[in-house]
Amino acid sequence: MKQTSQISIISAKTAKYIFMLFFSLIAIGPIVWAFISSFKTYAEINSSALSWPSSFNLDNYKAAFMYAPIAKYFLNSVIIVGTSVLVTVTLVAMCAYIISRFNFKLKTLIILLISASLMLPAQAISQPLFAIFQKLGIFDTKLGLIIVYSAMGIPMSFFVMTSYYKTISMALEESAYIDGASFLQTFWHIILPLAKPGLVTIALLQFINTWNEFYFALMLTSGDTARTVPIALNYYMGTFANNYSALFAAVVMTVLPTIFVFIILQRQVMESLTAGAVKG
Amino acid sequence: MKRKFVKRLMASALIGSMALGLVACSGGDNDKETSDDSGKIVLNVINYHVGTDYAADYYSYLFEEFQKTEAGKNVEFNFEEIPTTDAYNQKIKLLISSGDLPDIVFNGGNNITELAAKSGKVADLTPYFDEDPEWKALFDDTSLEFNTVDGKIYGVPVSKEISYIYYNKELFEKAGIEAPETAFASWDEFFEVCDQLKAKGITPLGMDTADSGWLTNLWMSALIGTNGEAGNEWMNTMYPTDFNTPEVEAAAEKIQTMFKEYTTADAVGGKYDPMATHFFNGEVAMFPNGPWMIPDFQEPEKAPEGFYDKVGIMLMPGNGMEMVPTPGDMVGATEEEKIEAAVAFLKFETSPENQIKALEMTGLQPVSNDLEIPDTLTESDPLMAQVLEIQNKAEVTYGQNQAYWYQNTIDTFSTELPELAYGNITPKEFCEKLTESAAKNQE
Amino acid sequence: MKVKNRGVWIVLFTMPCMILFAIVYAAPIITVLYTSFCNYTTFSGPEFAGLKNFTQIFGDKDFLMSIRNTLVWVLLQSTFHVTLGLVMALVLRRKPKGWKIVRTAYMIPNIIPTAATGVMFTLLLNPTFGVVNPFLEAIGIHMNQVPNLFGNSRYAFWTVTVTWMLYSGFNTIIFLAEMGAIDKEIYEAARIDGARPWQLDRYITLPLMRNIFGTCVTLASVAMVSQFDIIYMTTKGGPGNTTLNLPIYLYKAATLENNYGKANAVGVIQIIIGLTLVLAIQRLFKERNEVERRKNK
Repeated sequence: MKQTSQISIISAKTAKYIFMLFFSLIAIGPIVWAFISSFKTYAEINSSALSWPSSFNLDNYKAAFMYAPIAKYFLNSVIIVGTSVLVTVTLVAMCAYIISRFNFKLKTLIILLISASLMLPAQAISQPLFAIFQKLGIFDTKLGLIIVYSAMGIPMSFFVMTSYYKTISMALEESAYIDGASFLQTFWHIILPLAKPGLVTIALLQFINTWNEFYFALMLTSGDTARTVPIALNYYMGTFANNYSALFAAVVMTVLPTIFVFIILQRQVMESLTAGAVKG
Repeated sequence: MKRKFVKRLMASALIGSMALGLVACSGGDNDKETSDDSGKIVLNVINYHVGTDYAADYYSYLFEEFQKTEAGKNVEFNFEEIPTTDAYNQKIKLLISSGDLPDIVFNGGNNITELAAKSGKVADLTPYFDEDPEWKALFDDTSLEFNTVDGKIYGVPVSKEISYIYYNKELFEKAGIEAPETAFASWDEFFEVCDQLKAKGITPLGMDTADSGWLTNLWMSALIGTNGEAGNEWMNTMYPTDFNTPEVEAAAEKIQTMFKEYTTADAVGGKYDPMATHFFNGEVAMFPNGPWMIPDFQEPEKAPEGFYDKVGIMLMPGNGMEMVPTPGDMVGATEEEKIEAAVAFLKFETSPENQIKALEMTGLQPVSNDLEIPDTLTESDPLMAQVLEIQNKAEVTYGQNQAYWYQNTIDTFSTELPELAYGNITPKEFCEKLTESAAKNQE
Repeated sequence: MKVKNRGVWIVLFTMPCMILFAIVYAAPIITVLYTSFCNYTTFSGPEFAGLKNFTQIFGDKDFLMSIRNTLVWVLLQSTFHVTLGLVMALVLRRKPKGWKIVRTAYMIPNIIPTAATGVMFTLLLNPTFGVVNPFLEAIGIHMNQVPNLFGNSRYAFWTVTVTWMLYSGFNTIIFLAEMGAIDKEIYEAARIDGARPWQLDRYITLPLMRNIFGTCVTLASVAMVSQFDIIYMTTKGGPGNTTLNLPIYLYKAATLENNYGKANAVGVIQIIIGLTLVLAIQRLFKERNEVERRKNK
């Protein structure tokens, strides 16, 4: 009896690790492959996907810097994406709280509008937006892209956050109100600290979603002042000359810092997680 | 009472912000600088010849040199760079529908000329051509007609596009085949040679389907364009709508056979680059393409050393050659001063010297017919010299789908090719799909 | 809940979000709705044309195929994909050895630009030099004709599906955050009562995930209704129409046919399908949340 349960525990553990290993491998595989391929030549990339590069020279990395102002675009990306994350998280933290706690007449309309926007084709948005932005004088500015990205992040963050607020018990708020706390005090001192894991999560998601956005970054800018990393990547793809190795070099250079940012943000999630985790 | 007020406030704020959006929508012209402090004319240009584009070096040379000329010394360029023609065309279409075009509008294909002309956002260049007969004489009638919409010339063609067959001399030798001087006399002879190559374990042809199916398009255009008068006329028609002609159907049938018998396993669903690499690596014997590919033969990154010397050139069977005028660059400026400066640049771009320069630097074929080719070219680039020579031997010329077909029909061609290749649809059905697709533009 | 000045707070807290939202989305929503009833092209402004665009697209079998594919992808994504994310979260929740690495690794595919992912997959699956042949050989299958995964209509749909289906890191992150919010005393109490580890998950964790599972399903479905990039980078909807979905069909109408009216009609259908899904899913996962529970007391 005892033996069989031991065996089942061991096999469950093995299954668990195989599961983790498999999905880590298929997840890391592509980026590792891109890293290896970034040292290959055009001919090597287009004739063998699995071979090792003939030599590990850094020419492709040099080429990646040569074609596009990649460092500048990277900085732009950091500013634009960073600000949009802050804006989205702040606004959604407020809006979603109301939606999760109160019933009012326009609530359904708000939810419907936000849902509808998730399905709007980018091409249909770009035309009116192009005209509006020129009128407002924010075409080809970082501010313009920040506005678009912040708004684009609203729907998804909104859904996640509304659902997260619902997990927070209302008993705390009620006792706060009985103690005479104001709405703002309750929100600031009681709700927000509890909502931190949710907020960090939407920050993460918003960061990932906007970091790779290409279409609006191209349509709503015309110069280097507001262009972002995804546009730099396009410099390596020509009509009759796709420089895949430089493309992969650029991908590696832009993805690595992103992963660091990601790890730092995730540490935040983890800290809040320790509260609820169990040893199993 | 209070509640009602709040609701009304919310509703009106919502409507207000929506209205703001609509009002802003109706307008849309921005103030552009006419000239900077030093009194120079500023021309806005969107340049897609950047990054790994084949003509990036040539265009940066051109802009620099222009500013050294009499007409260009007062001109300052204000560049926007958009890498890849795909992204460039998207942006230009957005500008055509809701913005202002740059002062000089490079032509990235995609039927941009017609769209821009119909929108009224590009200048009619006819008077400038009439004013300067010497300039106008550089272009033949076909090239200008190709850039004319409703009787007005809108585009200045800067080059001609031609294509033919590159073959690997070494592989031909290995199979004991003697390559023809100019071309195989007939397609039957061509396919016989394919069989011989195949018998020696050599894959005869390079083909593809992805993106736009460029290589397959060149084969198919050749099959139609060399098929008698009817076929040739069809392949020289702008925006064809009936694909169920005997010639097109016959070509589709041949294409199906070529996919099944004569090409690499990755041709179906494949993109251009891996196919080109097959040719560079000596894995396929014949490869259709134009002169812009020649610099690649010497590129150590792409082709093995000494590959340049292994390449031969021939026309398509029956002495056929694809030749189309290119869609020309346009002028989007609205002020007289700027239009003139832009036209001056286009004149500079098409000057005989720069046409030769473009040929040397990028392989772009001169749009003008009787330019004097410097002898140095024969020495420095014998293949290119051979291209210039062999094109005079073409007995029939015809277009190709990217120049003449509707955009969506080119796309249908590319997505239906795999179905044809695997025999999931018959050649006749394939042509029906193309006809249906072309009809969508008439609705 | 009794809050002073309830209405004022509602306005103050929702307004900033709605204003930003309106700046970007108000004009597009109205434009799309209106111009879907118009003749409208790249070079000519909108002119009212009644239901023409709608009758046209519903008469096109490619359009019907694109709806079908979209719905199949929604179904697969909202079931298999989300569940995979949940299972991963359940595994990582217990912090087995190496969990931090796995959690970060699993998220990486979502950070890589789609343009690069598209190129990677097409090269990796190339039948002459990609991974397919070595893989088949390794598991003992020898084939004369190596299957062309993106190029053959028999495999293309599933190949495209695999490019996103297994990468569920997004959902894992969301589930992990939600699991972190569970009071650990509940687990302690259950364990003292002799509950097995899997019982903790089955009777405590999973029921509490119901709400967020609904959210993840909503987001996954909506993402599939507007899935575009990776399909465009790999197959462009082909071979034939086997991987055509609504956004690709819409893109083709707008950029290849220059027919904005038709494209926006497709957009309207896309919005209707999306909203229907959102409402249906919300109904399906409707939990008696605290607002209602208290009301019922």
